[in-house]
This record gives sequence, C-alpha cells and structure tokens, in this order.
Amino acid sequence: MTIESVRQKFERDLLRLPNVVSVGVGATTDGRPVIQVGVTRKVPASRLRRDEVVPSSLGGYQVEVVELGQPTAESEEGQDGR
Amino acid sequence: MGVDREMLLSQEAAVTLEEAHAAAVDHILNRESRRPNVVGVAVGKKWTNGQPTKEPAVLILVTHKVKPAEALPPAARIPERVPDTDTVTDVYTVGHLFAGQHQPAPHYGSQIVQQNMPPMPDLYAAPVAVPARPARSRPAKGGHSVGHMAVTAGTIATAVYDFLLDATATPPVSGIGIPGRFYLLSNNHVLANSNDAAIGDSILQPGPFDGGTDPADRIGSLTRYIPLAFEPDIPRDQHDNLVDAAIAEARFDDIDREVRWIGKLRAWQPRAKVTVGTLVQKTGRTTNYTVGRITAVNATVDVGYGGGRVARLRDQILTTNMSAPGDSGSLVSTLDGVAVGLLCAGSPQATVANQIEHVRSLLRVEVAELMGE
Repeated sequence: MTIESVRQKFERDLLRLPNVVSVGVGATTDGRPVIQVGVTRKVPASRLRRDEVVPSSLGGYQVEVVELGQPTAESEEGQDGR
Repeated sequence: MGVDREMLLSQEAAVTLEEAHAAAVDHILNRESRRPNVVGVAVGKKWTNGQPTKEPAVLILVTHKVKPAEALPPAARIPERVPDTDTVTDVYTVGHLFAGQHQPAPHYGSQIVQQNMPPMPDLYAAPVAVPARPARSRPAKGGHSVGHMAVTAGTIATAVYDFLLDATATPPVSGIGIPGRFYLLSNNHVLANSNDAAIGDSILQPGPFDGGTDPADRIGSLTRYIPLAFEPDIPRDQHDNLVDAAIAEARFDDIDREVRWIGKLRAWQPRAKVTVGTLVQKTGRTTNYTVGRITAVNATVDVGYGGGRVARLRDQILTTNMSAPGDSGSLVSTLDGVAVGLLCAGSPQATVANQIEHVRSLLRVEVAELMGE
C-alpha cells in the first residue's frame, strides 16, 4: 500500500486519540516518507494508557509524532474569531 | 487500530465539554475580563499530581503559571470551574500562543525574534513597542491588510481573475482571452466572515482592526467563497473542507498581483508536485516576510476558528512556523516564485496552508498562467 492509502486508512482513528490534531505525510531528514502525526503537546508514553499511544509504525511505514500546539485560524486575534 | 473507548470522552461528555468550552471562551477569553497570561482555552482532562484523571476539563492555556495564586489579584485568578457550568478547569502552560494574544505582540520583525522571545518577565509589563498599523495602499498588493467589515484583519494573497476561455481545473490548464473581472484572493474567514457574510458585502483595505472604515477604505465586495463545515454544527468526521478561501471583486487599478517583497508569482504548483522539505516564503500583514520549510503534505488538520468552532481541513500543507494571527490569507510560494498554498491557520510550532490547486479549481480563478514543474 502507498503511504497515502495507509495514512487515509488510519486517519480517523488517529484523530480520535487524545491531543492528536493532524495526520499527514512527512519525511525523515534522510528523505524517507513517514506518517506524521501532529499533537497539541507530547506526553511521555508512561503517562498514557497503551491504546492512547500513537503507534510507532503503521502499515510498514514509520510514524513520527510532532508537537504542533493547537492550530487556529489566523485572522487578527484569531482565538476570538472576530 | 484499537482505541480504548474508556479513556475517550463519551458522546454526552463531549457535548457537555463542548458547551463548557464555549462558555469558557466567552468568559475567560472575553475582551473585558481577559486575565493576564491567558492565551487560550482547550478541552481535555483534569491532571492531578502529574497524572491525567478521567474527569473532562476545560484547559486554560497560559504563558506561564503564577504560584501561589494569591500572588495574583482575585480577578486575575482562574476559577475552579467554568463560570455557569459544572465543568472543572485545569491550567496548562503553553508559552506564547500567537493566536491568543490580545495586545499586538511587542515586535514581529522576524522569525528569529519570535523564536527567541523570552518569557514575559513581568505580568503587567507594558508592551516594548507597538508596531505601526498596516496602512492603506492603492493599488493593494499581496501581503497587505484586508478584511470583511465584520472581521478584524487578514492578508491579501494576490490578485486573480476568472478562468479564461479553455481554462480547466482537470486537467489543470490556463486559457487565453480577456478576463471579465479581477479579484483579491484571501480566506473565507477573512473576506466572508467564516460563512456569515453576504455576497456583495464591503471588503476593506486595510481591514477594520487596522483602521479601515466603510466606505472610505472599501476596496471591493465579496464575490464568492467556499463554505466551511464547522463543528459543532456538523461533526468533524463528516467535514470535507479542502480550502478556506474567498474572493472579492475590485477595480483593476486598485489591486496588484505582485506580493510585497516577493514580486509576481511566475507559476502555480500542482498539488502532486508540492513536496516535503521544500523551502517556502510568504509576506503577511503581521509577521511581514518569513521563510519556512514544508514539513508535511496530505495533512488532515483540526483547526480552531474561535467560539468553540472546529473545521477539519484535509489535504493541507504544513510548514514550520512562519505566521501569526493576521497573516491568514497570505500566499505561500517557493523561493523561486511558484505559488503553492493559501495560508489559513497556525500554531506556535506550525503553519497550515491550503493547496493552491484546490483554491484555483474550487474558486475557478487563475493565480498564474504557468504551472510549476
């Protein structure tokens, strides 16, 4: 399976995990494609229950967890939305 | 993939929490009662002694915690529960989230300044310097302030025109002929007030937050926008948002497709050729000229739109942080001037942009005559 089809297959489940805000396709520094999971903040695996932890690989592709914070629309004072 | 449903919020709890979140946004992020250091509100679980509990909580995001709470005046303390609800609060340190800043940030001169910005030394320290408000400009270029009359301010991406004869979305081909109309391109949430505007509404340059008034600073009128699906109206699993985009017709003489500091875009990049690792640039109303790197493509991202609304956007481009509130609508391009994305959201760590191919084909407007290679 292509990395994009694997990403699509697991997207909805990943986005239901606590703190997860994005699921995309990224790359390692040496250029290998990875499934990139964005979280509002990283939490040590020891603080999460086993099934809350983002898997380290899916469908044969490495999964990379990156800390994104909370994405918000960026009009001026975007948090208020006005 | 197995997901432990027990640790996830039940439907009922999620609804309650959504309401509490909206109440917290109203009360705690409210202009009049904004507390020092508070930069945002989120939902999650109460943490006690470094461990998550099962109790849903509204998280109050702060730049830094002040202990003991008694060091703060009573009005500045975070209440134990969200006002008018039974939902508990939890205070969570996130540093400086640009989206939540009420005051204009002291200085957004460069990316380096942002990243190295030290923690605020004093709760009540005055801003170091207030930047000049972005100005009125005719013709207005990409990178200038713009906004619907009911919106604060965002950024003009560039000027565009209706597809010419023979132009098609699939396959993506530009046409030949005489354009009927010319437009400013920006976001739905900048030009169409997040679906709440009416076609024909006044678009101001600069945006209202930057001093623009109607009709003196009217540059055009809202022509079309791609509606966004939002939670709580529509569950996010059912969203099919590809772009946050809108156009406003303007007089040809009042607009310019050049982007400040970048110039005219020489081409636009088909989505299949937008790749991770590419360096990109943008000019925006708030952080001016910035450079970033694409870190992910095909990204599905849950974006907060204020007031508890969330839109799930798919097929997005993520970059390293290259923006702040007010930069929404900026055109993201490669360093050699090929348009790749329409900036719409961000966080302290990342910037989110729509694929320019989707913007082009959904709005049926031409951004540049050549395609990137």
